[in-house]
Amino acid sequence: MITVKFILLAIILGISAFIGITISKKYSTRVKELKEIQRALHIFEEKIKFTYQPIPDVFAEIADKCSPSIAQIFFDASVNMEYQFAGVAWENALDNSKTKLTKEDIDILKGLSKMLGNTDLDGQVSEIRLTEKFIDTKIKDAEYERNKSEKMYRTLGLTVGLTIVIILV
Amino acid sequence: MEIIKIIGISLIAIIIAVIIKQYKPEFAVYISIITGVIILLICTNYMANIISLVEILANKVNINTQFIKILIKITGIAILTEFAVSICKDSGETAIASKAEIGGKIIIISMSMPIIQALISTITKVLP
Amino acid sequence: MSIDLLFKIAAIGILVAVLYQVLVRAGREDQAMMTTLAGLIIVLTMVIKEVSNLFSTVRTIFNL
Repeated sequence: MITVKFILLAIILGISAFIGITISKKYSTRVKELKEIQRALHIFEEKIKFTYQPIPDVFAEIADKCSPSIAQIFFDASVNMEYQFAGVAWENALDNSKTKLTKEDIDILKGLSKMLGNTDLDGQVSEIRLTEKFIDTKIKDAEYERNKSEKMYRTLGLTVGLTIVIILV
Repeated sequence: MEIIKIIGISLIAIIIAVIIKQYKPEFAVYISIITGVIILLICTNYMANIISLVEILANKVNINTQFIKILIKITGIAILTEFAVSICKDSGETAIASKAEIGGKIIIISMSMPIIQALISTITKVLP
Repeated sequence: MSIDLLFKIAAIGILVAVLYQVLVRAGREDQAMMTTLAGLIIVLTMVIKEVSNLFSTVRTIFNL
């Protein structure tokens, strides 16, 4: 009986610590994903500047080079473009993505949709540059947020678990 | 040896209270309350023995058992008020402590009214 | 009824202090206040149970 109780208490402790770590991970993942997106946008910019590949091909190529969560967005977009306008396809891909990005980050990325396939080369490049700059400030924001919250949530999970265990013992 | 238990518990409680006071002074009050409760609960068996002894003696010597009962009740009230008053004083609330003390005294006096009445009636009988 | 409760309260107190520090460091003063309050109330319920236990014991012994 007592062993069962202690096993359950250990499980409670483990679960709360795990929840804390999961929440804290959200912040570092967001920073990573933002950096990844910046890199992807950079590649995109270079590609449309120097090669004249169609956008779906470029997106598929970027998807090959990125980490899975970001690659999914570009891959979806390139697939969607076969039967949708480029802008709509990009927005849909962003809406269906499973990243840890906040709504603001997604909104900034959606700003790209207006120019995709609608303006000339210079317009597209300047638009991409603008988005990159926005993403840059967002990365700084996310890093600040991570420094503040990551450790807190990890400690919080462990301490709350310990408190529950001590109350229940 | 219950005394060793009591001493050990009080020493441990002191150390815990001193440590806790640095971080959260609110919890130090709880520590002192719980220590008081634990120590008094350890003592209860012995108190019961003493009381039964007093009652047996009173039966033997033929004192009015009603008075003995009142006496025992007064002792209980005194212990409980002392418990509350010392905790109040510990947390720095001397005003509340003195009110609790006054309350305890008043209740003790009101409970001992029969004894006082008996005393006065005896005196008036003796006096011419 | 033993010394376990004493250690329990001490542990909860220290953990609440740690939580308070962490939350204040992260700039969430109001939530830190709430955790302190929650800890105090939880301990209060445990303490009150024991105090009522003491009172009932004293009452039976002294026939109050």
